[in-house]
Amino acid sequence: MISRPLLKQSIKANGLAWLLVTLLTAFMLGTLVFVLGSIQANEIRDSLKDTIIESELEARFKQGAIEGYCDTLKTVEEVHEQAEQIYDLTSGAIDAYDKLKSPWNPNPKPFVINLIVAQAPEEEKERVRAAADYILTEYESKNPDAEGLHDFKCEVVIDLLLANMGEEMSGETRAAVVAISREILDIYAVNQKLEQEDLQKIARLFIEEVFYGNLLKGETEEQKELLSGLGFATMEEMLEYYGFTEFKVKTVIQSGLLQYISYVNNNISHEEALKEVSGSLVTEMPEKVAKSLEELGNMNINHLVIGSIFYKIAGLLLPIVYTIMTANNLIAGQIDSGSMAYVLSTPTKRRKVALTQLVFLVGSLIVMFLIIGSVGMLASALTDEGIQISYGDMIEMTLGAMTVMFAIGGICYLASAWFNRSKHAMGVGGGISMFFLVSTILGLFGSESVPEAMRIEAMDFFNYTSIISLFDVKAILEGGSFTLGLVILLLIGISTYTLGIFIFDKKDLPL
Amino acid sequence: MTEIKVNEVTKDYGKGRGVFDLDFEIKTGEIFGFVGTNGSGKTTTIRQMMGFLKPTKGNIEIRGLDAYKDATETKNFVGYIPGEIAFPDLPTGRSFIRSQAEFWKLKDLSFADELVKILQIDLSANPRKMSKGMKQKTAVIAALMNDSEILLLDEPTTGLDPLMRKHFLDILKREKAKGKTIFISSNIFQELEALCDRVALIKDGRIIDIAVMEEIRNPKRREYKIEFLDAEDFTAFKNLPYDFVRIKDEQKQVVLKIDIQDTGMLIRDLANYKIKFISENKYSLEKYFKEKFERIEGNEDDQ
Repeated sequence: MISRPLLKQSIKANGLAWLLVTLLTAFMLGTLVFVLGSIQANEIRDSLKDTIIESELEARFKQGAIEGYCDTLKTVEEVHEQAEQIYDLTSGAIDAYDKLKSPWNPNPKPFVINLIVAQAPEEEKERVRAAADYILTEYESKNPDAEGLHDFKCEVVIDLLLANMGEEMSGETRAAVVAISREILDIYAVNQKLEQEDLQKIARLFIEEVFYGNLLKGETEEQKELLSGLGFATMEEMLEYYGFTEFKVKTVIQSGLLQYISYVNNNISHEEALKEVSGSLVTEMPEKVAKSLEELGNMNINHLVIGSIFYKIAGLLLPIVYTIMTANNLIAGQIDSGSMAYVLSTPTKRRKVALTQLVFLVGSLIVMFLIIGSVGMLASALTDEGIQISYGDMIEMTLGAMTVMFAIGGICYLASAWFNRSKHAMGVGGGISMFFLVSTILGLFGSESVPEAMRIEAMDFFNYTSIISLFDVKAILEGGSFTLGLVILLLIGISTYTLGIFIFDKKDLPL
Repeated sequence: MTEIKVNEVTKDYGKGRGVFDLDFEIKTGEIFGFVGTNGSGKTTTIRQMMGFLKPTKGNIEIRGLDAYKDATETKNFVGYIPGEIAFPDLPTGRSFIRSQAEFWKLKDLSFADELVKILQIDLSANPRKMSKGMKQKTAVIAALMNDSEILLLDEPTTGLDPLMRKHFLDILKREKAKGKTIFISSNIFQELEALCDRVALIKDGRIIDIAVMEEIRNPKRREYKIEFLDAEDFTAFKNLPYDFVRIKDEQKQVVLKIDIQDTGMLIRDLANYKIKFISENKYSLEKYFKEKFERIEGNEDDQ
């Protein structure tokens, strides 16, 4: 069937190029797998993902803080209104009591109460009486000195305030009201009145104070969802992973709140200010960019580099160059130079010559990719984390690349059998093969293998002008049907080889 | 016995290129020369004998086998030197010879070794880097090593120096002595003249004539040039009834043609005169074909 001496000649003549291409391509894959497997190319993706999440978290913190602030501000305003009144009442009562109290009048309390009640409007009289009574009773029993007077007043005011606000308050709200009231009263005692800015400041400082603590508890539905989404057990763990210390959280929400407050003070609506301040990276961007960033986050870099770039482009380049040169050397080159005359001047059938050269070409490509694939898997086994591509997928991709080379080999072989001149054989066979490869490179930028940010849809056209597209790496790696394409490639190969043999058998040879 | 039979072969490449209506036979043990200018169709003829080209019309038989259809079978008794020498991509001349032996399934390389000695060739060189002469010698060995009964040689002496050419022609004579049939093409008349039994002249793809070398080497009519010492003798002789080709009065010289059986008469006549010298104008293949040409062209002019 095949001629052993001719096979030997072909091995001697093309062995070195074969070895070089095999080693270089295997080295390329080995290094890629090793590097990707060791340093984790996905780190890039992960860090990108982390950055996105970090900014998203910051946005949520700001949003939460602003919502908390708005609620608190309402409470502050409410408390403020009453606190001032009650404080005035308290101050008035104590002042009157102090003035009237003398050795001649040791118990001015009832008088003072009556005096105050008399000034109050009709419907308030009962309440005011009770309040004044409480104030003066406390005052009599505690009898604070000048220094402790303000503290005493505050205590009394807050007690009354809480009583006014009703019973159904939680401990937390109660504490909040106490703290807020104290702040208000401290300022009021000094300035005799509070500006809106003062109220805002009180609300803001309060939120800044409690936000981190509340965050750590991670009790709200929203927070729980966030934790499970990102795969953390506790809020503390998550905050630590993304580097949110208490100080950092405080800084973040402080800047958010200040920004929000300044927007609102400049007559910007709540909704708009909220959007401006707490819009995250993802929500702020145009939908397309946001989507592509999300895609980038979900993309597997190993699949792109090993599958779409190595097995379909980089790893095929040298083997295709080898195929173009070798296919030419095996037939057309020998006719062009005339050296084919020596084989054919011995009792060796043309068909046998053609078949021998075919066996060498195809055999050398098969062995080449067996070695390349094995080196790839070996490198994968030697890395700690691996490239997260299964051996099965690696084997399928290697077989796929082999099939592509089988078809490209067929095209080059047919050109070599068709033309008597090397330049024509290489020009046509090489031109077509290189066109396919370059189309695949261009098509990559239009394919779904690259993230949308880098994708140019129109370039997808080139995927339809290359037979290499029949080798569906994405289907192999991500599940899907890929056998039909490979079968077509096999058929392309089989028909070109058959036609090549037939033409060489029949044509005139200028030897 | 007929070894090679060319039957009405035409290989038409169009525009008048190719070979047309070739029809001749080569007998066993014959050396058949094929002479013509470059591009006259020598190589096209040999390639058809080798089965590399398919004739447009007619066919060539080698020992009764069709040269094209049975190309592989005929190679069992055909050796070939191509017109253009290029070797397979192998490291040394020796590895090339060994590889050829494998193709022939030839175990005994003693004949090849003998040829190497005669041609004084260094086979350790890379065949692609050899000088033209070296390449030619290597090609000779490759063609002869199988001891094939029929040799088809396309301008085998190009590139050989005169000494090597002689060695090579000696080798061919030895092969002929062994009973080999040799078809050799060349554009050098002289080397064919000495070697061949018959020589075909091809011009523009058509065979003009096939010369039988025996007739040229030993022609029935011979040409002599005679110069006389005395003017009287010259005048007297030129009046004799000989077939004069040329008469040069200044040099007192005549050139005449005479049938070989009448030579005695000429010598007897010359005994009466004082002659400066007498020499035979040897007939050559070149002359023979020149005359043929002139006759053909003359005919063409007449028409």
